[in-house]
Amino acid sequence: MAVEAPKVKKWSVPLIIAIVVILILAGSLGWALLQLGAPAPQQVTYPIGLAIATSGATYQSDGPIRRDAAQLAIDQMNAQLAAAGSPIRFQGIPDDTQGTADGAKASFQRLAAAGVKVVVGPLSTGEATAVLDFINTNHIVAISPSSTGVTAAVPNDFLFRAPPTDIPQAKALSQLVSSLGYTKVGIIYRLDDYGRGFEQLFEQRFETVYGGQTLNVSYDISAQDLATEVGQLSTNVQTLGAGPQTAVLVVAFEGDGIEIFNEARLDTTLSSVRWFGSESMRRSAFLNRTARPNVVDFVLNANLTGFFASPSLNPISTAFEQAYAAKYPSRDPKKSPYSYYSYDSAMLAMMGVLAAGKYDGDAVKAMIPFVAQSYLGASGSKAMDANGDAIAADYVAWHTALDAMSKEYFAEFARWRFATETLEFYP
Amino acid sequence: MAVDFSFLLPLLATSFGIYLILALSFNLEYGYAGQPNLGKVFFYSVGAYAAGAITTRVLWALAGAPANVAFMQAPGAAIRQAFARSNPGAILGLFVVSLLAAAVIGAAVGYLAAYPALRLRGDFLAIVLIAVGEAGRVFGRNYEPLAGGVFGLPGVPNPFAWLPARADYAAYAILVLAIAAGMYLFAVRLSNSPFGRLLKSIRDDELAASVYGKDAPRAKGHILAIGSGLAAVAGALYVFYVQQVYADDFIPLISFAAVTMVILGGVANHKGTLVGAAFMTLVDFVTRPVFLAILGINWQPPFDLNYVRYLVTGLIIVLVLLFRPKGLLAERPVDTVAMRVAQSWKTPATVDEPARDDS
Repeated sequence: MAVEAPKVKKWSVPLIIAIVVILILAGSLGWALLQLGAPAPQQVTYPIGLAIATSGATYQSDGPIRRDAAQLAIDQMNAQLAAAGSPIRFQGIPDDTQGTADGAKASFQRLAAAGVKVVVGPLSTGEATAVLDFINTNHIVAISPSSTGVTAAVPNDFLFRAPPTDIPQAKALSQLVSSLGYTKVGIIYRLDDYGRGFEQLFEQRFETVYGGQTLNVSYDISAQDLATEVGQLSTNVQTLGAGPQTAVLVVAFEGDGIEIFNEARLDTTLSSVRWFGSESMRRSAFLNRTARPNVVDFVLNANLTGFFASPSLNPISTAFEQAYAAKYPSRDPKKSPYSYYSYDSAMLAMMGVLAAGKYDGDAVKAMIPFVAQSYLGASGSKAMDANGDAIAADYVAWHTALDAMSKEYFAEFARWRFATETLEFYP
Repeated sequence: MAVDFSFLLPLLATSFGIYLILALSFNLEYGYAGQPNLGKVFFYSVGAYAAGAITTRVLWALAGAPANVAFMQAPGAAIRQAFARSNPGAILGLFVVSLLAAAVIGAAVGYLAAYPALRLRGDFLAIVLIAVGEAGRVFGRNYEPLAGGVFGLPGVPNPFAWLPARADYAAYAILVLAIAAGMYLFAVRLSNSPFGRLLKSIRDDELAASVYGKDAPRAKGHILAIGSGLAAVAGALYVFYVQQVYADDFIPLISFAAVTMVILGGVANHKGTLVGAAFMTLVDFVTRPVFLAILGINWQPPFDLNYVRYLVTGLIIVLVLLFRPKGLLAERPVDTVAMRVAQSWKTPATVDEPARDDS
């Protein structure tokens, strides 16, 4: 006997219509409820690109500190905007440029693809010149927190730079070295755009204006052992004639600086002369007796001396350091002097957008010099020149010394006036 | 956040095209001839320096070489860019000349580099060529008259700088893809030729190839010249994309990127290099915070997302080596007429006579 297959019960048309109607009603009700619960003004989020190298030989340790400083500024601004009831928010979008021209170019293209019109970065002058045509053509504002090379100084472009160029510092340092009676300087510098650029500016100024004599040696920034280069520096100093008129100038960052001091302290010639340093040498790491007592003894004995843009320490920089330590306890902003500039660059970028009232490259570009004119940040005044670079403020001279408690510190002893290009020693 | 494809696609296409030419270059040398040229970045930089030095200097001369403007600084670069924008014929002509010059100079330098290849094998050759690459970078950083040393030489205009903004990058990306496609066809044809089979025989057993009367040293010299010429073309294309020559761009990582693409895709398989280059291009993009932003995800991970790229790339290489040691697309027999006949079981009379192996 054939078994009849059970009939599949078909859905009736009215039932389907009823279900569709119920779904539409429920959807509409839900949407209406969501609308009731939504805040009255629609929140607007503006992206701020952070084209900051966090890998590569130059920036793998320094870059993350600077990037986090910029992100801290964004977080602080968002908190303030929320407290004020503003619908505007900023979103930091980090993108690693790897410290190369290629990486910077690709980074800016990626950020542009994500709709970014305002970027903090890139870090180096080489990267900055690589993106210059792209940002000018596509009207993207870039604020570099650490490019100081004169090669990227161009008027009326979309690149702004938070630090001044190296020119005033080179003027100040050559004047100081000469006024202290030194006529011969052995220079050791890191072979990157910063080190080479500063060395060239100092050398030219010291020789042409003050009639001094220099011999220099460079080192590869990825080198771990600098014994050969420090040995060459010692030979250069002997050639110049080690004596009361001969000094050493070191242009380095933290790791390479420690390596140079560690090698130099074993050299009798280099231990017998005074040392000067670029502003990048004013680092707490060189005075950390617990970690490296021999280096501390050496820099104290060598009377390491240099400049730093003034005001180097102000209530804003102190507040920045405290906020940074609270948010990123494992990192120290003092390890990267340019983290202060990163913080200020991000602040300038956001204030430019707020002042422009719209997220548009041309509008923000027009507003940034105006905003910067009256902005005093963690790295000092940000008033800009015709090239969009921060105008140099006065420079403060420091040297390594012991305080009343025999604690090492950077003692300030003179001021170089930018406006008059004069050096004033403290009484 | 909406994605602007007019920026994204040219970036991905240009990167893919340049990666592909580099990978093809390494695959010809290593995959087919067994010569591990880990100094690939050197030949890449030779092309970049050649194209950059020629283009900037000729443009500067054509623009009147203003005495009060620094040639190697941004103001000088702006003058070259402006000249290129108003003279399409000049910049396009310079691009072609620079590309050809880069290929010829790269090939010549590659032929010179073949000398150590005649005396060294395997690991030793790889180490020597890595050192050559680093020596080239250090020379570029220290010798400022060539391309500005550590400051770089800006102002190498996009050949389509005279087009409107965005169209210039799109047009250049299409050109790079077209050149890469041409290089791909060239590499396929070369590797299926008698010379390609000679290379494979040298790779598998140099002594046996020599016993059969093949001139192995000469063939090695030729393939290193060809591979280096290709790498130099990639370098020239790169420099017109970045629009400046910068010594610190030519790091060993570029050589290892070429190795990674070939190992991933499949050694001695040009389709594999396509896969490898596409993989590197995409991984480089999707493992960045900007990709999350494009997807509308505003998330700050408690770790540095940028380093995920290196982890992912390394992990995939390990997995491929473990489970597919010959790469995603394994090596296949050469594509000759005889092989096609054998595979289709047709009689030789129905097809053309195969090319003679006269190498």
